[in-house]
Amino acid sequence: MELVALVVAKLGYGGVAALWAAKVACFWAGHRLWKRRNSKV
Amino acid sequence: MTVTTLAFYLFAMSTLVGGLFTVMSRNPVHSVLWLILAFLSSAGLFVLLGAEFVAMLLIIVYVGAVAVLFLFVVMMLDVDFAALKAEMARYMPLALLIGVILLMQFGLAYGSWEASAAAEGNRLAIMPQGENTQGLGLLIYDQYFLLFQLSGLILLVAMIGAIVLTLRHRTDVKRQNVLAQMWRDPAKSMELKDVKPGQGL
Repeated sequence: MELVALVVAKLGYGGVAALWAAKVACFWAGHRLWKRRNSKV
Repeated sequence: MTVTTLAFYLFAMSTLVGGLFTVMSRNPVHSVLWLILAFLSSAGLFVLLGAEFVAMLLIIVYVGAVAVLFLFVVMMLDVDFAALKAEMARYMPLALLIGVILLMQFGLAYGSWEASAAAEGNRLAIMPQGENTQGLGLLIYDQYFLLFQLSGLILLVAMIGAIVLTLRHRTDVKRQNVLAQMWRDPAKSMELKDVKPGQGL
Protein backbone atom coordinates (compact mmCIF):
# COMPACT_ATOMS: atom_id res chain seq x y z
CA MET A 1 0.00 0.00 0.00
CA GLU A 2 2.87 2.35 0.81
CA LEU A 3 4.29 1.88 -2.65
CA VAL A 4 0.92 2.61 -4.25
CA ALA A 5 0.60 5.75 -2.14
CA LEU A 6 4.10 6.78 -3.21
CA VAL A 7 3.32 6.26 -6.89
CA VAL A 8 0.12 8.30 -6.58
CA ALA A 9 1.94 11.03 -4.67
CA LYS A 10 4.63 11.22 -7.34
CA LEU A 11 2.56 10.98 -10.51
CA GLY A 12 -0.94 11.95 -9.41
CA TYR A 13 -4.04 9.94 -10.36
CA GLY A 14 -3.86 11.27 -13.92
CA GLY A 15 -0.27 10.12 -14.28
CA VAL A 16 -1.06 6.65 -12.93
CA ALA A 17 -4.04 6.40 -15.27
CA ALA A 18 -1.90 7.51 -18.23
CA LEU A 19 0.82 4.99 -17.35
CA TRP A 20 -1.63 2.12 -17.14
CA ALA A 21 -3.39 3.26 -20.30
CA ALA A 22 -0.01 3.15 -22.04
CA LYS A 23 0.63 -0.37 -20.73
CA VAL A 24 -2.78 -1.61 -21.83
CA ALA A 25 -2.27 0.03 -25.22
CA CYS A 26 1.05 -1.83 -25.55
CA PHE A 27 -0.64 -5.15 -24.85
CA TRP A 28 -3.50 -4.36 -27.20
CA ALA A 29 -1.20 -3.31 -30.04
CA GLY A 30 1.01 -6.35 -29.48
CA HIS A 31 -1.94 -8.73 -29.55
CA ARG A 32 -3.34 -7.09 -32.68
CA LEU A 33 0.02 -7.30 -34.43
CA TRP A 34 0.46 -10.91 -33.38
CA LYS A 35 -2.99 -11.85 -34.67
CA ARG A 36 -2.31 -10.21 -38.02
CA ARG A 37 1.09 -11.86 -38.44
CA ASN A 38 -0.28 -15.21 -37.39
CA SER A 39 -3.27 -15.17 -39.72
CA LYS A 40 -1.13 -14.37 -42.79
CA VAL A 41 1.34 -17.22 -42.42
CA MET B 1 51.41 -1.01 -0.26
CA THR B 2 48.16 -1.25 1.65
CA VAL B 3 45.71 -4.14 1.40
CA THR B 4 43.29 -1.95 -0.58
CA THR B 5 45.90 -1.09 -3.17
CA LEU B 6 46.95 -4.71 -3.47
CA ALA B 7 43.29 -5.76 -3.86
CA PHE B 8 42.78 -3.06 -6.49
CA TYR B 9 45.73 -4.25 -8.58
CA LEU B 10 44.66 -7.89 -8.25
CA PHE B 11 41.07 -7.16 -9.32
CA ALA B 12 42.21 -4.85 -12.11
CA MET B 13 44.63 -7.47 -13.45
CA SER B 14 42.05 -10.26 -13.34
CA THR B 15 39.47 -8.01 -15.03
CA LEU B 16 41.91 -7.27 -17.86
CA VAL B 17 42.98 -10.90 -18.18
CA GLY B 18 39.33 -12.02 -18.13
CA GLY B 19 38.39 -9.53 -20.83
CA LEU B 20 41.38 -10.45 -22.98
CA PHE B 21 40.73 -14.18 -22.83
CA THR B 22 37.00 -13.64 -23.44
CA VAL B 23 37.97 -12.31 -26.85
CA MET B 24 40.92 -14.63 -27.48
CA SER B 25 39.80 -18.10 -26.40
CA ARG B 26 38.84 -20.48 -29.17
CA ASN B 27 36.24 -22.40 -27.21
CA PRO B 28 33.10 -20.21 -26.74
CA VAL B 29 32.26 -21.92 -23.44
CA HIS B 30 35.67 -20.94 -22.08
CA SER B 31 34.99 -17.45 -23.40
CA VAL B 32 31.85 -17.18 -21.28
CA LEU B 33 33.71 -18.49 -18.22
CA TRP B 34 36.39 -15.81 -18.69
CA LEU B 35 33.61 -13.25 -19.04
CA ILE B 36 32.25 -14.38 -15.66
CA LEU B 37 35.73 -13.86 -14.18
CA ALA B 38 35.79 -10.34 -15.64
CA PHE B 39 32.34 -9.60 -14.13
CA LEU B 40 33.37 -10.90 -10.71
CA SER B 41 36.57 -8.87 -10.68
CA SER B 42 34.73 -5.69 -11.68
CA ALA B 43 32.32 -6.41 -8.81
CA GLY B 44 35.37 -6.50 -6.55
CA LEU B 45 36.49 -3.13 -7.95
CA PHE B 46 33.03 -1.69 -7.22
CA VAL B 47 33.26 -2.93 -3.63
CA LEU B 48 36.62 -1.16 -3.31
CA LEU B 49 34.97 2.05 -4.56
CA GLY B 50 32.32 1.75 -1.83
CA ALA B 51 29.52 0.97 -4.29
CA GLU B 52 28.44 -2.32 -2.78
CA PHE B 53 24.95 -2.17 -4.31
CA VAL B 54 26.30 -2.01 -7.87
CA ALA B 55 28.71 -4.83 -7.02
CA MET B 56 25.88 -7.08 -5.82
CA LEU B 57 23.85 -6.09 -8.88
CA LEU B 58 26.73 -7.11 -11.12
CA ILE B 59 27.05 -10.49 -9.42
CA ILE B 60 23.33 -11.25 -9.20
CA VAL B 61 22.18 -9.89 -12.56
CA TYR B 62 25.21 -10.31 -14.82
CA VAL B 63 26.85 -13.42 -13.43
CA GLY B 64 23.67 -15.04 -12.17
CA ALA B 65 21.41 -14.35 -15.12
CA VAL B 66 23.08 -12.93 -18.20
CA ALA B 67 26.26 -15.03 -18.18
CA VAL B 68 24.34 -18.22 -17.43
CA LEU B 69 21.98 -17.38 -20.28
CA PHE B 70 25.01 -16.88 -22.56
CA LEU B 71 26.32 -20.25 -21.43
CA PHE B 72 23.01 -21.95 -22.25
CA VAL B 73 22.84 -20.26 -25.65
CA VAL B 74 26.43 -21.17 -26.50
CA MET B 75 25.96 -24.77 -25.38
CA MET B 76 22.51 -25.38 -26.86
CA LEU B 77 22.61 -23.55 -30.17
CA ASP B 78 25.02 -25.05 -32.61
CA VAL B 79 26.65 -21.81 -33.73
CA ASP B 80 29.49 -22.13 -36.20
CA PHE B 81 32.03 -19.91 -34.51
CA ALA B 82 34.76 -20.52 -37.08
CA ALA B 83 32.54 -19.07 -39.82
CA LEU B 84 31.58 -16.16 -37.56
CA LYS B 85 35.24 -15.41 -36.91
CA ALA B 86 36.05 -15.50 -40.62
CA GLU B 87 33.21 -13.03 -41.18
CA MET B 88 34.53 -10.87 -38.34
CA ALA B 89 37.93 -10.43 -40.01
CA ARG B 90 36.25 -8.40 -42.75
CA TYR B 91 35.19 -5.76 -40.24
CA MET B 92 38.65 -5.51 -38.67
CA PRO B 93 39.56 -2.08 -40.19
CA LEU B 94 36.30 -0.57 -38.90
CA ALA B 95 36.86 -2.10 -35.46
CA LEU B 96 40.41 -0.72 -35.38
CA LEU B 97 39.13 2.73 -36.37
CA ILE B 98 36.56 2.70 -33.56
CA GLY B 99 39.24 1.50 -31.13
CA VAL B 100 41.58 4.33 -32.11
CA ILE B 101 38.79 6.92 -31.75
CA LEU B 102 37.91 5.54 -28.32
CA LEU B 103 41.57 5.67 -27.28
CA MET B 104 41.80 9.29 -28.47
CA GLN B 105 38.71 10.17 -26.45
CA PHE B 106 40.20 8.58 -23.35
CA GLY B 107 43.38 10.55 -23.97
CA LEU B 108 41.30 13.73 -24.22
CA ALA B 109 39.39 12.94 -21.03
CA TYR B 110 42.42 12.08 -18.91
CA GLY B 111 45.04 14.25 -20.62
CA SER B 112 43.67 17.69 -21.29
CA TRP B 113 40.47 17.98 -19.26
CA GLU B 114 40.72 19.35 -15.77
CA ALA B 115 38.05 18.85 -13.11
CA SER B 116 37.00 21.99 -11.27
CA ALA B 117 37.56 22.13 -7.55
CA ALA B 118 33.80 22.17 -6.92
CA ALA B 119 33.12 19.07 -9.03
CA GLU B 120 33.43 16.59 -6.19
CA GLY B 121 31.12 18.71 -4.02
CA ASN B 122 28.54 18.95 -6.82
CA ARG B 123 28.60 15.21 -7.26
CA LEU B 124 28.13 14.59 -3.55
CA ALA B 125 25.27 17.11 -3.38
CA ILE B 126 22.94 14.95 -5.52
CA MET B 127 23.55 11.95 -3.31
CA PRO B 128 21.33 11.72 -0.24
CA GLN B 129 23.17 10.95 2.98
CA GLY B 130 23.36 7.42 4.31
CA GLU B 131 24.00 4.02 2.75
CA ASN B 132 24.42 4.04 -1.00
CA THR B 133 21.74 1.38 -1.54
CA GLN B 134 19.33 3.60 0.37
CA GLY B 135 20.56 6.66 -1.52
CA LEU B 136 20.02 4.96 -4.88
CA GLY B 137 16.51 3.94 -3.83
CA LEU B 138 15.69 7.47 -2.75
CA LEU B 139 16.99 8.91 -6.03
CA ILE B 140 15.16 6.40 -8.23
CA TYR B 141 11.87 6.54 -6.36
CA ASP B 142 11.95 10.25 -5.69
CA GLN B 143 13.80 12.48 -8.10
CA TYR B 144 13.83 10.27 -11.17
CA PHE B 145 10.54 8.45 -10.59
CA LEU B 146 8.91 9.27 -13.92
CA LEU B 147 12.04 8.29 -15.87
CA PHE B 148 12.19 5.03 -13.91
CA GLN B 149 8.58 4.22 -14.80
CA LEU B 150 9.16 5.16 -18.44
CA SER B 151 12.18 2.86 -18.67
CA GLY B 152 9.97 0.10 -17.30
CA LEU B 153 7.49 0.87 -20.08
CA ILE B 154 10.25 0.60 -22.69
CA LEU B 155 11.20 -2.84 -21.30
CA LEU B 156 7.53 -3.86 -21.53
CA VAL B 157 7.44 -2.81 -25.20
CA ALA B 158 10.61 -4.83 -25.86
CA MET B 159 9.10 -7.88 -24.16
CA ILE B 160 5.85 -7.67 -26.10
CA GLY B 161 7.82 -7.16 -29.32
CA ALA B 162 9.85 -10.32 -28.68
CA ILE B 163 6.67 -12.29 -27.99
CA VAL B 164 4.93 -10.95 -31.09
CA LEU B 165 7.91 -11.85 -33.27
CA THR B 166 8.41 -15.38 -31.96
CA LEU B 167 5.08 -16.77 -30.74
CA ARG B 168 3.45 -19.02 -33.30
CA HIS B 169 0.27 -20.93 -32.75
CA ARG B 170 0.70 -24.15 -34.69
CA THR B 171 -2.45 -25.93 -35.73
CA ASP B 172 -0.75 -29.10 -36.96
CA VAL B 173 0.28 -30.38 -33.55
CA LYS B 174 -1.82 -32.39 -31.14
CA ARG B 175 -2.42 -30.53 -27.89
CA GLN B 176 -3.63 -31.69 -24.53
CA ASN B 177 -7.16 -30.64 -23.65
CA VAL B 178 -7.26 -30.84 -19.88
CA LEU B 179 -10.96 -30.03 -19.53
CA ALA B 180 -11.94 -32.69 -22.04
CA GLN B 181 -9.88 -35.20 -20.12
CA MET B 182 -11.46 -34.20 -16.84
CA TRP B 183 -15.07 -34.36 -18.03
CA ARG B 184 -14.69 -37.58 -19.99
CA ASP B 185 -17.41 -40.09 -19.28
CA PRO B 186 -16.07 -43.63 -18.64
CA ALA B 187 -19.44 -45.13 -19.52
CA LYS B 188 -19.23 -43.74 -23.06
CA SER B 189 -15.55 -44.37 -23.65
CA MET B 190 -15.68 -48.14 -23.28
CA GLU B 191 -17.81 -50.72 -25.03
CA LEU B 192 -18.04 -54.43 -24.36
CA LYS B 193 -18.18 -56.59 -27.44
CA ASP B 194 -19.59 -60.06 -27.41
CA VAL B 195 -17.01 -62.13 -29.25
CA LYS B 196 -18.15 -65.43 -30.66
CA PRO B 197 -15.68 -68.26 -30.04
CA GLY B 198 -13.54 -69.17 -33.01
CA GLN B 199 -14.52 -66.11 -35.11
CA GLY B 200 -12.55 -63.22 -33.79
CA LEU B 201 -13.61 -59.67 -34.24
